Amino acid sequence: MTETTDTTVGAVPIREYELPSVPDEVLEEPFSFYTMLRDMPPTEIASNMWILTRFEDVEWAALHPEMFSSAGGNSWAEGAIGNILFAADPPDHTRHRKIATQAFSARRTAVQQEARIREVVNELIDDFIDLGRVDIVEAFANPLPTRIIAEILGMGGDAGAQFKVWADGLLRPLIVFASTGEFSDAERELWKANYEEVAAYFHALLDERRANPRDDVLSTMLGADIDPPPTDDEVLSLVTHLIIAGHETTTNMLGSGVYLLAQLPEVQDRLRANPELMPGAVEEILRLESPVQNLFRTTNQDVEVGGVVIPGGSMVVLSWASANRDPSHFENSEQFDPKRTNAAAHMSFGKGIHACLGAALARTEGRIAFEELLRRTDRIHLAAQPEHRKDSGVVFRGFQHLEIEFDKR
Amino acid sequence: MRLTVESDLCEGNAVCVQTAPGLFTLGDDDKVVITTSEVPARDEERALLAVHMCPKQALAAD
Repeated sequence: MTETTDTTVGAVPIREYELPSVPDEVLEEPFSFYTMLRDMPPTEIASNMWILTRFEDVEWAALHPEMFSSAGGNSWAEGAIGNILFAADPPDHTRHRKIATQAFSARRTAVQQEARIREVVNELIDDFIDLGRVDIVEAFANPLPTRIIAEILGMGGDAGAQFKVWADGLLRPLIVFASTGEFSDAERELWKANYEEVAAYFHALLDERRANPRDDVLSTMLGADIDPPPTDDEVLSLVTHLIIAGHETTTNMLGSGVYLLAQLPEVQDRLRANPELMPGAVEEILRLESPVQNLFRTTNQDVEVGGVVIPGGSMVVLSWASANRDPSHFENSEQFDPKRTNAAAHMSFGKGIHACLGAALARTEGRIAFEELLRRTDRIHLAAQPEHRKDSGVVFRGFQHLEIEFDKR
Repeated sequence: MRLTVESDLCEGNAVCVQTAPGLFTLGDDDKVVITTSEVPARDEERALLAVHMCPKQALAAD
């Protein structure tokens, strides 16, 4: 066991750790692995790398950021996007969060976008409804969140189309980096070049909004009621963060939701007959197929959790996806039940000070997407073997391709 | 049926707004606002579902 002293965030130095090597079969079907881990005390799955899998333990860690540091746990991201929001601790985090929350409020992003989301959803469905068969990831799950977040950030016209390229360029290398520790010089250069394009675009847009403020996310961030006032660089970091966090996660939710519904024809019919059950169905999709499966923290001190002492400076994986299927918290936890009363207690958006800022937007996109998909189709079923993304590591889970067939209604 | 919210508990998850859009909305501070003093009988089931689903258990119905 070796210790390094060059990475110090919080009270204790972060120990040198190993990333666990996870076989492809487990990435494809991680849930039986989680079930096995839940029956054991918190486990050191690789050198100085621990995993929490029980609902109670994961929730407790999420609610104690003073012991479980996000700046330490996500210091891999520091070189790329800086210690911001998900990779920050108070007091920095408190400031970022305040700027972002005022602007990216649930009211502004979800409630006010309802009609526009429904319009985009139906435009996308129009393009494939007569075909009877479609790759729902390509045609729907990818473009929907991309278009909505680009619009919310005030990008118009061609920039909207450019957005997906930028967003993937910002996100993919980080996912690989988080899961494998690999970030080659060549990749780092590519990442930087892409980031600089994004930065140039948004710096210009921020100048424009500063001159002509509107009732939108960028203007509200710039004018955030905080002392000292936000700098352009801070706002740019937050925007980058919203892009990274806000597109593929929602894509994964939509793809996984269609996958689950395709396997459950009786649930499809029940939701068609009772669309008021859709919010509960969205919670179940989120619970069963958490788009973010696991995230990292480091311990700021020796911490006792689940009867085990995790030494200070250790990496800890919080397994949201495992917590979501913990039968001691969710009765018949493997079952899809849109009437489950505690469904929304899942951990897919995290919990505590780092809880997902875009949760209300994601829920709204999910509800409207499935309402319209089911309203306009019958008998959605799988047309080919679905393909999970192979490059999502242990952090994300979602489909690369999902071919479905359906009847037009 | 009447709905009440404990605003200190509400963290703007907006699950109730999804579940029963006519009965709840969000205010400027992202806290839930109950839009009706008396829940119409036809909406009671939705209202109860929203109360049960609140991740913070911030809502009540009587």
